[in-house]
Order: sequence, then structure tokens, then C-alpha cells
Amino acid sequence: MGNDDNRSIDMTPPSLPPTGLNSEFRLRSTMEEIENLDKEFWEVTKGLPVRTGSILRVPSSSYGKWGIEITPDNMDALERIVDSVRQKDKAEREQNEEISRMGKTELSKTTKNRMARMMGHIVKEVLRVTDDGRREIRICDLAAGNGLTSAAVLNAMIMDPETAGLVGRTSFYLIDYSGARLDSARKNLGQFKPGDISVYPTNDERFLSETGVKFDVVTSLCHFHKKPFMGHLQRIKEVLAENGALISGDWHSSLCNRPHHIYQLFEEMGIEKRRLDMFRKLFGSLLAPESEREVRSEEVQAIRDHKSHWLEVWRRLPEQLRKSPKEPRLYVLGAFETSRARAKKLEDNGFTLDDDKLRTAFPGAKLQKYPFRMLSRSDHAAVILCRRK
Amino acid sequence: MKLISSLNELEELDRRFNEICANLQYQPGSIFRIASQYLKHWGIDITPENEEWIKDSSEQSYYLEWKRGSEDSLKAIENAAEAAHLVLGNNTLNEWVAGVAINILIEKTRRKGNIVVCDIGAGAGDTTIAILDALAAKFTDQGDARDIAQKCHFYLLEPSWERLQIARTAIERHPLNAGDRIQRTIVESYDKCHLPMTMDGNFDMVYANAVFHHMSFPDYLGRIHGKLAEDGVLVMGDWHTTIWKYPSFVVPLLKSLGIENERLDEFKSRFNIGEGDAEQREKQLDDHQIRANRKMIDFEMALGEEFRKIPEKSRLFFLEAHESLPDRVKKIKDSDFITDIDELKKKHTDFVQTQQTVNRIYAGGEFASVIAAAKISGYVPERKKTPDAGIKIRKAFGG
Repeated sequence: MGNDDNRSIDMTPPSLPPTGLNSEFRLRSTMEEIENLDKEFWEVTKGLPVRTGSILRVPSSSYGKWGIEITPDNMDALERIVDSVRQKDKAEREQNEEISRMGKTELSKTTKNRMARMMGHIVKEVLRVTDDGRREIRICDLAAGNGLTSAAVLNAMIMDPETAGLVGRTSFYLIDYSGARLDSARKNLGQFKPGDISVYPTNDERFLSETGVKFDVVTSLCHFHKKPFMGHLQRIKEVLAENGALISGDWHSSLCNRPHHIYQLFEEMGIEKRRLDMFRKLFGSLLAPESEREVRSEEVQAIRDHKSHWLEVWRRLPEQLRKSPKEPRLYVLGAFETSRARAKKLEDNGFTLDDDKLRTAFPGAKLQKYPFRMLSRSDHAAVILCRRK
Repeated sequence: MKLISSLNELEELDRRFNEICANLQYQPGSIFRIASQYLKHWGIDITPENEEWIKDSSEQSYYLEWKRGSEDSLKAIENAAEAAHLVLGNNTLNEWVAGVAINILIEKTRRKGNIVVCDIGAGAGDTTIAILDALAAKFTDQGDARDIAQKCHFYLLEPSWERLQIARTAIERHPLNAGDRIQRTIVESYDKCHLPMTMDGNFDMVYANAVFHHMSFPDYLGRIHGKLAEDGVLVMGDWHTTIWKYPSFVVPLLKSLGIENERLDEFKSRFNIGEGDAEQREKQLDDHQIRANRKMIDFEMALGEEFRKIPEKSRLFFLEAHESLPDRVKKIKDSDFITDIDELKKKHTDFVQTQQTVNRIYAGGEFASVIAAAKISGYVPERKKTPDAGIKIRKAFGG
């Protein structure tokens, strides 16, 4: 898999200080219990410019390791809370553009650009070998922002004489919650003169459910880690044309899979002891070291990279903001997972990343093996190409 | 307009011009920052006696600007680029420089084995990283991409040590750097200071993105030419506008930056700008050039707004050595490079995969363009075949 070696290593974490609780942690399953747990957890990092955010941001497959049991009774309510968390994020970011900037480092900015670039290349290759010379090509860019991914697609298409002629027949459908960003995207992309650019300031689930359009390509950059539940994958599958492709670039790591790594991260940030005590008290035995024998070396590096990112963000915050934050706040928790776990979810939802199948579907395309890792010896940033099974 | 050439007059012109702009939130910097071939439109006659002085004044102003650069100014530029819908521009240019460069690198490494390539004004390594990405994308088998990347010794030249550290990390972490086998040298310096200390013919390729619009005189092309191997290639991406070509083109910007009427009148009078002058001059431009100039003015206006929010010491200058694409190509040719694709395809083995040497990125316009040019062993330009012309050229480059 990917472009690095796959050696499995023992990643038994170092011991933590005693939790003060020896009893087993009881899983919460009623909504009242879950909301209370989340409220208490909220208190741990309340007032800091970098906070954990709601537990429900983590992948739903990891809820158990955070003490939450998903049941048929609470499933819908949990999804609703996740949605409201995203709405809140959206409102906060719209109010303060500085939030997005604060959460970036030079390496994360460069790597995000690089993921877009690799996605542009893949889209171009897919179109090159599937175009019939006549039809309109439709590309759906989820969480399009200011058009970074679509610009990379257009760049790649125009640079290749075999696809340059397709640009005038290619329509871009850009979906993002921010109308302002979409307006910017439309102007950024307009300079390349593609066939058409339509913008949809809405959430992608709604767009995918309501659009009747079938797409040749759906792209998503640094977005799926905001989706604890995977319902959107089904929706994407439904809007993809027969030989359509889903191309995603995302941050990957198992940092948020259980409380242990997050505790360590905040400890390394040097937050006050009382907050760490609260954290330990809340999760008790769930914080105990756990062996993860099947973790691969690049997945371990991904956790390190993910932690380093937050430590750098934390270090770069002005001292004043660290001590008495005003509005800007960043949330560490997200539905991050290893690219292996993501690939499995895609497979479980009716997509295939199988090398042979991709080559059969896109014969002659210059494609790499996916997930394609963007950082040496690390799973932290990866691009995935898949298609409907 | 009467041309001036004495150092006293030139100094006085620059001083007065800056006084006219003194109340603006965004200062012009030295008037000599403008591309040298346009200075005559600003009433400046470049003579053998004043040429070095003008060059020094220009370079000092660019150096002063670089010293002013800070996190604040970078943030202001990013915000202004976002507002003017240019925020993806440098990324786009990098991808094109990379796209043009890798076809040549592949041929070069196939033919020569190990080669040395130089990234001038490397910044945080974005162009070099774009080249590595383009190589990774080009090959299905990453072993082939790694093989080519590891045959290239990347030589990054950049005055900011902090930016170079970011570049270093980005290269170290690139997947083609398996086993840490990508050779790289990073040098904290300017091309003018450092290139003369390198061996002639040292580099197989030189590339740069969005750097040369900070160089008023074409001397840099002569320096690069000397340091390139006999079959060396130059690839450059840049922004091309003509907003500083005539003083009348600057009037809308001065107005938008809030210049007072009396000062604007003085500006017009000093540079002999009559009614309808800008419109008349604009007739020399094509539609794309007019649009590019407006886009650049939008950016400068947005930057002026952003600079209001940051300390004065971090504010950059608005005059730059932007020039039209034909002017840039002419300078390159005048520096003994070949840019004609048919000629290169016939005479230069590295160009077999190259489609075009002059690439306009945005539908038809020259605003963002990437140029490839090359030396050819034994090539003597037509104009050099007469001894007089040869002397002139050597003089222009201090030879």
C-alpha cells in the first residue's frame, strides 16, 4: 500500500500517571449520559484557544474508546449533535476568518497544496482516458473553499495537450458552506475559462441528496475528517456516473481514536495540571496504556506529525492569546483515521481502491498506488482514488 | 517629456516623487524599481554615466523592502491576493514551472546522469517541491520518479534563512526523498552576491518563480547565462503587467490610495500627463494586457487597504519591475538564450517533450506566464556576428 514501507511495529504507549480510578469505565449510551460526559469534557479545555471540542467529533467507530456506546436508540440523536457541532464551527469561522489561519503551519499549508496538486493530476488522468470527445464533463468539488482543488485540476488539464481541449466542456460544481469563499473560487477559476462553474453555498449532504446530476468525478480535500459518520459516502456513490471516480485528499492519523493520545498532546502543550486532572478523572481506565500491535510505522509517524502540528500551532499562538483567549478557538478532535481505515470504510460503502480494478476502469492512465502518501514515511497526508464497485 | 540623466536631477526626481506619495498608506519605493526599459517614459535617460547609480538605487530599494518583510506583510499580501482573486496564482505558476521543467529534467538526467539545478529566490521551496510533485505524478512507478529526483542536486538560493528552513523540511519530508537521498544545498544569499562565486557552467538548469519582476535591469540574465552549462536551461514563471510602463497608468492607483488633489496634479504635471493620456497609451495594449493591469491595480488597492492595518515598518513598496511578456522574452533573447521552440526542438535534445517555450496560463492572456529558454553549445546569435554589436552586448552585461 502507498509509497512507503509497511512494517508493523509494536506501538505500546508509555505509561500514564495513575488515573485515580481503578474501576472499569462504564460506557454511556443514553443521550443524557452522553451529553453530560461531553459537557464535563468541554470543561477540560474551556477558555483555551486550542480546545478538544466535542467528543462526538471523533470517528463514530472510535466512540467506544471514548466511553460512548452507539445504539439504535441514540444513533440519530448523535448524528444530529454532530451536525449541530459543524454548524457551530461554521458560524465561528464565518465570524472570525483568523481561526482558519491560526490552525495552519507552513508544512500543513504546503502539504494541502500538494494534495490538491496530486488530486488534479489524478482527475486529469481519469478524464484523459475516459473522455469520448463529445460529452459534457461534470466535476463536483466538495468543500471547495476558494477553489484550490479545482484550480489544480484545471492546471493539470491545460498543461497536458491531450486534455487541454476538454476544459471548455468541463463543468465544475463547487459546494461549500461559505458563499464568500465560493464567490472567490468562481473568480479564481474563471481565469481558466472552463465550460461552466456553478456554486452551491450549502452543506454537501444536502447538495448530494438533492442534485439530480451524475458526476464523472467527485473531489474532496481535507474534508472527510469532519465526518464522524460515513453516510455521505453512500450519497457520493449515488451521484457518481457509471465509471465515475471519487478522489479524496485528507489528513490521516489515529490521534483522536482514543483519549490517550489527546491527553498526551495537551500535556505536551503544557496546560494547567488541574485540567489534566479533570481529563484523567473523566476517562479513568480508558486512559490506560493499550497495545496496538498491528500499527504500521507510517501510522505511528502520522500520530507524531499530527501532534507536532498542534504543538507548533500552540507554540505560534501569541502568548497573550494562550493565557487569555478571546474569540479565536481551534478544535483538536476530528474524525481522523488512518488511510487504511479510510480505505476500508470506502470499500465497506461500495467503492473499490483495488489497483487492478482501477487500471481496468481507467486503462492507460498514469496512476499511482492508493492511498498515495504525500509525506515521507508518514500516513498523515494521503490521496485516495476509488470508484464504484 | 524632457529626459533627465544627471545624478542630481535623478536624485531630485526620486525624492520629489516620494514626497508626492508621502501621505499614502502604501509607499512607492524608489522610482528606479521600475523595469529599466520603461524608465524613459518616466523622464529618465539611462546613460553609461548614470547606469550603475540607477542600478544601485533600484537594488537598494528592493533590499530595503526585503528587510521590511515580516509575518505581517506576508499576511497582508495573502489577504490582498484573496481579495483580488489571485490567491491561487503563485501555486498555479509553480505548477507550470514544474510542468515545463520536469520534461527537460527527465531528458537531461537520461542523457547526462547526475545534474545540478538551481532554484533562484527559492523562498520556502515551493517551486522545488512542485517539481518533485510533478515527477511523482508523472510516473506510475515511484521508483522511476525517485531515480530522476535523486539524480538532481537541488541548489536553493534565497536570502531568508527562515524560509530556507521551511524548504529544507519540505524536501526532507517529500516521499521522493526516500532514504534521504535527494541532494540539496541551501544558500542564504542573493543571486547577485552568490552566483559570481559559483563556477561558470555549474548549473544544468536554473528556475525561478515570481522573482524577476523585482529586477529592474536584465543583468541577472547575463549572470545566469554564465553559470549555466553549455546546454543549460532557464525556466521562469512570473507575473506580467505593464502598469508601471507609463506614469499615466499609475494615476488610478494613486487615486485609490487616497492621494490629495494638489499632489496628484503635481504628479501629472511632473510626468507630463495630459487629459486622455492613459486611454491613448492603453491603445498600445491588447485586451488581455488591459485586464491584467486592472487586476494588478485591484491587488495593489487591496494591499493598500491591508497595509493600513499593519505597522508602517512592515509595509512594502508598490513600484515593481513588472514588464510585458514580449519585453521579457526580448530580454531573454538579448541575453543569448534561445526561446524559439522549433529551433530548440531541432538543436537541443532536452526539448523533445516540450510543447511550448512561452506558456500563457490564463486563457490567452500573459498575466501569468512561464518561459523556457536554453543555451545551445556553439550558438552565435545573428547580431553577434558583427563585431560592433558584440561589443555592445558585452558592455550591457559588464563583460
